[in-house]
Amino acid sequence: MQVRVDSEYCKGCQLCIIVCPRHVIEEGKELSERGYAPPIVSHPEKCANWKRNDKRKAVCETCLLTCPDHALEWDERPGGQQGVDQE
Amino acid sequence: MEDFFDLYRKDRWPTIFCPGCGVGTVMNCFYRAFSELDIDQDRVVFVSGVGCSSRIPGYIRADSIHTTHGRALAVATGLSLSNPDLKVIVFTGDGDLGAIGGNHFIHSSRRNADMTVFCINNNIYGMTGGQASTTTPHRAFSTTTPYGNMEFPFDLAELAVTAGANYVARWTVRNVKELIGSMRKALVKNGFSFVEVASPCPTGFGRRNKMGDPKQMYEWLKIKSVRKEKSEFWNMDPVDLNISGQITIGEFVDRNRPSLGSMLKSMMNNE
Amino acid sequence: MRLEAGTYFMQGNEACVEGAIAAGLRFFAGYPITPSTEIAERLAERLPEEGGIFIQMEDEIASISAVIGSSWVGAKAMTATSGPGFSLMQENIGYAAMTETPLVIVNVMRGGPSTGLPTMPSQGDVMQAKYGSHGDYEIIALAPATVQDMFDLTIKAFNFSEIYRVPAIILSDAEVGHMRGKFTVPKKSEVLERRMRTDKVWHDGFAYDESLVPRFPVFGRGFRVHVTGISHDIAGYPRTDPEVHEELVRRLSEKIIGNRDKISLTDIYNEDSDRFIVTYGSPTLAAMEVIGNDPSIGLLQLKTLWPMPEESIRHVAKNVKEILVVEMNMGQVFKEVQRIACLEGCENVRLLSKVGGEVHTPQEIVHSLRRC
Repeated sequence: MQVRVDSEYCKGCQLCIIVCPRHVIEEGKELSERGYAPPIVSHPEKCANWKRNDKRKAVCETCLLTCPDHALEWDERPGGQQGVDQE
Repeated sequence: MEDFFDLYRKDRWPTIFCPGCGVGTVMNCFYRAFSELDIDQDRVVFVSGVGCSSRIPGYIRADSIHTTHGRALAVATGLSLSNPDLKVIVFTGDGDLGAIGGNHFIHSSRRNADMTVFCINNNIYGMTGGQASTTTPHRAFSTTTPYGNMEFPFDLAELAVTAGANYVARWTVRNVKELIGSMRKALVKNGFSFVEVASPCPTGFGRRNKMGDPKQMYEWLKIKSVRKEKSEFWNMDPVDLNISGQITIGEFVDRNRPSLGSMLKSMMNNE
Repeated sequence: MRLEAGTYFMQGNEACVEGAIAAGLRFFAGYPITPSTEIAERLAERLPEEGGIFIQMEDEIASISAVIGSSWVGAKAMTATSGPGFSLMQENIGYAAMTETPLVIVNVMRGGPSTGLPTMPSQGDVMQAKYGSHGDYEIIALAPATVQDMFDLTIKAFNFSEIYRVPAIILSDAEVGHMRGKFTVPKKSEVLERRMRTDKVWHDGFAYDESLVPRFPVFGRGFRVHVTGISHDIAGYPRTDPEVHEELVRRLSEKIIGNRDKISLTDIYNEDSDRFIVTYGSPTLAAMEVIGNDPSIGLLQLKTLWPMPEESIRHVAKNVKEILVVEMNMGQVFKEVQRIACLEGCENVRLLSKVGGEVHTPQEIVHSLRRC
């Protein structure tokens, strides 16, 4: 599974980028509807949870726990696809 | 509790907090700690005073009371004494707890009143726009200390230890895992338990101290925080420790003094 | 147990305690202050016997805060204080009015301003009781004049506070509080309880009906209500819309003002007189003696001070030549009486004021009446 950014809640503080020990997330450029720039999950395969598909068994999770706006969540679909999952 | 929004009120999301505010991180950690424990959501009361951190109970889907500035602990004392079956949880900030409510803080610790207190210490009055608080570091800038803070800050955790709290810990928002662990311990502790969280306020504190970006504030917290075990200042006077600008993190006390509620109960049963 | 029916000899403050226990007091938080201390002292002994909680807090602000907290878990709660402590409580009185928290405050008034005359009576807090906190709000204030009143009006104060979800203040004074006298405990006193919320609907913790008083969603029973001193809608959520604020603030006042006739407690003696004394609290005793000796003088005793019993004052003012307001301050109720009497065309309203810390003597009242 990979981490997904909810651009509706994200306020673009970029804390997820600096707390991630594996550099999974990168700065985003595009502005959301509310005028913030949500980050991009550029290297989901580097995430410690890339091969796990049950969020109850997730490890690390520092980005999710740090995100002050509950804008990050696990996308439990089996991993493999590169790049951002922005729905 | 399966989902984040089983605890928080989704209809009030997103929160009013600024980007990068540490309050949201504390809310995440609190959700994790709370949901891991088997506590009935209908038997919990959340109490707060006034300030940014005190807005948290308004987002929680449970009985919550947002009281006057500084009085959260006094209200919580009345709540927990009148209905000892309820779990009373207080969210407060450095201004609310250390300045206007300082007296209630000392005495609630001394009484060992049954409540769990989470203090989000962002070193500033955030809601009113960045005035110096009792925990603003020495020589730091704020709207009311334009030439630097000439006063010395309070060490809230040390204060709680000295006054008699049963459990005291302090972490920064960078230590999410440890913070969750301490929150869990504090929530199941009888008597007065206190967890202080050193938290960034990029808008109020950061901007005036060359840390306007939340990332810079995180870096600052990383540099300033030292684990209790590794602290060279551990044997020093806590006031000196504050002058050095160090944020000592860790568990400061974990003891089982009888709580106020249990003492009153035993008094009444003996009669 | 509440005192059994019968006649007792006690101090005013002690009678107040017994009244509170008869009304179902479960929680008291206080801080020692002359001349109200006996209330805390007696409750420290009596409340644990009743299974209630007594706690001495670190100051008066903490006391009223604890009382607010206790009230939200459904307990009948009270604090007792005097002038300086009452001043400290003001912010939270406004909070209790805003959040519609039932509670009772006993203010045993002493000479002010500031530390003033700690051991001597005064009636200087009448206006503060109503206007002390910021913003527009209404509270209920009762003024006992005798030891019997201390018992009876304490029960009334609890009843009003529970029914209207509002802080009720007992404006006693050092004279009444420390006076020892006889009082009767009736077989049964009317004790009213607040209307509790029974359904389990979230998101409308402050919904109200035609009584304008919302049912009480007590904490710990799953209502998940949010209580805040910020202007709030019926869900209890903070709102800054002008309409929401106006609706709330007007309702908070209207629920009290609209029930003025039910809350107004007054006693009228010698109704047909054309000269009237209007008084409340300890000066009433002197006035009683005056009208006992001279039945041509009428007496209106105000037992309710807020909301001001306008009907009774207008009724008296209709047919009189003169009204003398006797009070131990520089004219607080006097101005209200003057304003109301004017509405009935009675312009001859005079004040017999005394601020030295001594109660009026009957001779002083007689002398003042002769002067006109």
